[in-house]
Amino acid sequence: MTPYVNYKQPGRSRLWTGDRVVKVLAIRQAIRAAMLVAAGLLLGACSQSVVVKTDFPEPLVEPLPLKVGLHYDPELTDYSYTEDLPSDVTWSFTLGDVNTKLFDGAFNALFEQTIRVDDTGGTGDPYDGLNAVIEPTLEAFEFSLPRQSRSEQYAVWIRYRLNVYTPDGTLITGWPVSAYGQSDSRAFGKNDAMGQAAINALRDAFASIVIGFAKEPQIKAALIPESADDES
Amino acid sequence: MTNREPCRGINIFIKLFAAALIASYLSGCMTTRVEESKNAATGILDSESVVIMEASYHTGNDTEDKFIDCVSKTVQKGPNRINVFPDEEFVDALFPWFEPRTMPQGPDGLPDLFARPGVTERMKESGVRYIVWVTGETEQSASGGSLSCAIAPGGGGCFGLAWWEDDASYAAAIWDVRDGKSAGEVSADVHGTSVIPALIIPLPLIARTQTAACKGLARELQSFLVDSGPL
Repeated sequence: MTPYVNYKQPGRSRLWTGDRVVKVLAIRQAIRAAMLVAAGLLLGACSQSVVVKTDFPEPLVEPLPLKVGLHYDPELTDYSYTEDLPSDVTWSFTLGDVNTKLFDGAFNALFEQTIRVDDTGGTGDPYDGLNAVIEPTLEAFEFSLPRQSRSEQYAVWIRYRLNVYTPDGTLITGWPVSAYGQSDSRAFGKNDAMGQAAINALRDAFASIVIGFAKEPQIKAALIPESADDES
Repeated sequence: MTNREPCRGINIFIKLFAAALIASYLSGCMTTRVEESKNAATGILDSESVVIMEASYHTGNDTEDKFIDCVSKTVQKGPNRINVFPDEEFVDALFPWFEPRTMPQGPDGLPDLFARPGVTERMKESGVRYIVWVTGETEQSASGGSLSCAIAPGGGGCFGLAWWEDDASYAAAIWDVRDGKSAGEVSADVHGTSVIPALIIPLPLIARTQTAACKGLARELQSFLVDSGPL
């Protein structure tokens, strides 16, 4: 064994043998490798989290002379969506609160009176005084990045379904409402652009509901008095 | 080596660097064409305003947000300055009738729009006289050359020549809200070539086509709206 003197540690008078140097070098290499692996794991675990928050303006629409019950399932009010894109980070969206705001705003403008109900139909109070019960659900959520669409836009698609029931719980129709929103990546940072795209999609859904509800044939036939025909 | 030689070397370096900075602010080569087409007499009062919006992306339009901001700011300056009502505030005030899905697709849609409850009142409250719909975008039409840069312990630098061409093509359709019809259209087309030659230090000569298109369109819009003379 060849003895080595460690000139970098003048305080140490101890001689370093060849075996000891090899062991120290091996330990240092193992530590570096572990740090590289840890860094890789951390990078791979990075995610983009979008909590969608917005207020909706009061719409300029004439309310329908209806009293409607609103039933919101926790799946709607606590909605979140996560997708792990290949060769990209994990995207997660939180939409629960904003879904509630959207439908409260839309239905409060669309009908003369709305109340929250615990079920999609029933007998007795409060169902007896209602014209209908509506249960909105979120059926699908999709998004795309600029590199996927080969454009400068972040985009979001949302599909809701408005289940409309008679007060006793008989389904009149399940009306699908598709919404789309996009946002320019050149105007915002990555996270803000995606959030803005989601907000634009929600506003699109709001507009579609307040404008299109009374025109849906089965809803129109079941609920809309003749005097409100084609005026929304 | 005398004491003055290092100072002379530093002075030469500073002058070269300053020249490089000045060169970087020089525009590349650009050609600009601005046109207008007037359908009706215009004119705008001091109490009236315009709202400048991008046409709906549902029609495939992809106008950049910053271009709309640029035009909005530029028309508010100069001797023919015009009041601009913020587009986001306008869209919120007339919600849901100016969302990308629901906005009127032509001046023919204005009578139906004004028939909606509350729309006429909101429009009067805003003081908006003209709605300006902007379409178009800036695209890179060609590129070429190559530029290589390297850094070594002794120093670094770049070598080569890169170039690209941009086309900024925009049009603005103007609707007269008071008369309920189209007042006309203005357009701006700018073609520019940007070059970056590099011999150690790269000297970017950038053609700012989008900025030139913004200024051209804004000035033409001011002239179009303020001049109430014959067609």
